[in-house]
Amino acid sequence: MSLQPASARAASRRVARREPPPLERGTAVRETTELMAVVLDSYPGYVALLDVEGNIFATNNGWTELHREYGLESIACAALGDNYVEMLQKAAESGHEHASCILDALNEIQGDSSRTRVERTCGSSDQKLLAFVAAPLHRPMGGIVVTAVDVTSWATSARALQNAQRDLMKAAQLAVAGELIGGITHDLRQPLTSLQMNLETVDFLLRQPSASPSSTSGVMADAIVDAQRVRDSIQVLQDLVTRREPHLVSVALGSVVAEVVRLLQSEALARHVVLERSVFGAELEITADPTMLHEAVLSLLLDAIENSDTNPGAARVSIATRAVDGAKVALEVSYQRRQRSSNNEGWGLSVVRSVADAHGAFISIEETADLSVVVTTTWPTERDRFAYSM
Amino acid sequence: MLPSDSLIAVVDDDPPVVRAVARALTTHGYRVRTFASGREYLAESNSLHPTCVLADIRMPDLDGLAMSDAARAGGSDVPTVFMTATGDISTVVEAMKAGASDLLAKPFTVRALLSAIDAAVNRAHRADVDHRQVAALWRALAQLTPREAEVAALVASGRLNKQVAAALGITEKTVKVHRARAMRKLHAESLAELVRAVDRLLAEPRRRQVHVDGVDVASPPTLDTMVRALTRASATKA
Repeated sequence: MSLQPASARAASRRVARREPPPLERGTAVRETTELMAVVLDSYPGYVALLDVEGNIFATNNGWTELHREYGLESIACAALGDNYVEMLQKAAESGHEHASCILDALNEIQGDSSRTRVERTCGSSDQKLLAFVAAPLHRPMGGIVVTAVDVTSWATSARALQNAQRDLMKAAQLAVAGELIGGITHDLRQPLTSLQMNLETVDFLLRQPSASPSSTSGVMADAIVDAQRVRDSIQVLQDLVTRREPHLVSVALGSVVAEVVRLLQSEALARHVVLERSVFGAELEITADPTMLHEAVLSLLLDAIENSDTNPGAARVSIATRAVDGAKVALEVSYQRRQRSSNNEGWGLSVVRSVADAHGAFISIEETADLSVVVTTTWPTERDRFAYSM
Repeated sequence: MLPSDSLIAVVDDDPPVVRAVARALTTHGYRVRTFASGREYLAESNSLHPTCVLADIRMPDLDGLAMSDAARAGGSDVPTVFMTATGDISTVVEAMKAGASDLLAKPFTVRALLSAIDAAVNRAHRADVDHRQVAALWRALAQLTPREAEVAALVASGRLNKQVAAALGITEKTVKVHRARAMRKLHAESLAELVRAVDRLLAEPRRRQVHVDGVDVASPPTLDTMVRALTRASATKA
């Protein structure tokens, strides 16, 4: 046990660890200020520290350069202790565009006391975009640290990416529409061709002197079949755009889902979205209109793909089917949304809701704070077909 | 040429369309054979020898264009009229590249159908006449000896007997004998007729085969002898 006084023991420890001797109070303050200046200057953005009244008590070189670049010389040269907000107000009153812009950003920050960080993009005539961030200074006398980051190139790239994504989406939609129209056109032109041929043949035969009803009856019978084919094709078209009474049969939900997933794989791939299907347990059957069910599943998945976050690793749409208490089957589509939706329901989900209503099914949408979305439709496995209504 | 002289092969995977088109053609006097797929047609095309083919472009497994390509690769030059229910520009371009005689966009009228078929049949008829002429000339040419073929080629190219003799290293008298024999075998009664016959023979020197009445007729070796003689004579002159 040592008999040395505490100060002597501390001195001996410093010698042992080769620590520099303690600084005088004035020297320590000066060194802290210099250290803070170095730290602030090392930050690539623009930083100013303000007290509770808006007086500047520290800036970095970037901040000074920023204000020089914008022609705010007076603010750039502002001495420590000058009120930043007042100087901005004066500059704004004298018609300085950039000062107004920065002031607006600060007012927005100050006006929102519930948030500790506020970001605002400030545009200017030379197309430079700045993002302002404010955070409280955690110290007894309070204050605020204001940083500005030049996000011009980032915003330009983001806008270009957004435009490219929109163009891609439009092109994909056009391609899908084109394929659909091509298919319908083909299905209409085939029976119209045979109908035209048969009617003209009948006409030709009837003009012959030896024309007999028996020679034309077979051709007319074919013409009637052709007309029926045309009507069927038109009915398919009508069913696509109009509501109709569901034609209920037993449908294997998993097969419908598999078929739609297969159909949409290329669409998902084009948008860098992984589309995956999970089946829990045996094949589940529900009583539904197959066409309407296809339409609902297609709309569900298209809606999810279109709204998915396309960041690497996040772009994943999953569809799963599972039995619920024996009398119902749940169809769940989950994905990570790109941005928070205003009302959770686009055109695609309206179609799903309409089909679900017609089948006595239910639709629920859960969206968590981290934008994870789960759309669940619950379908009855069997139902009195007379109970359905549109 | 009567429609009944022509056999039309109709290829479409849609049975009602095949039946209606075939009936329209039959009503107007054509003989028709129908096929439900491109493969079905290809399996029989060599023995069938249709005058022209009427084929749908969009068919499962083997579409009309691929079927036409396969038939051409097999030596067939039967004119093909394509039908399409899509009718986009790329389809038209592909059909033209495939050597389409015509392209009918569904639905079409019987008049449009008959017009396209008539044009294709006429084309096939012209090709048939050409093939018969070429086959007859080849058969005649096959009777010539190599020396007679050389003399005929050089004489028809405008060279004098003594120039031919010098080129071939024989006497002028021998040239005259060979020339007379060649003219007789080629059924040429005058020098002008000999020139016409040789010109026709040498118009397509790379053609090796023509199809007449279901029989393939091959070009005789003396055709190559003629070509070589002319090439040698031109080289010597140069």
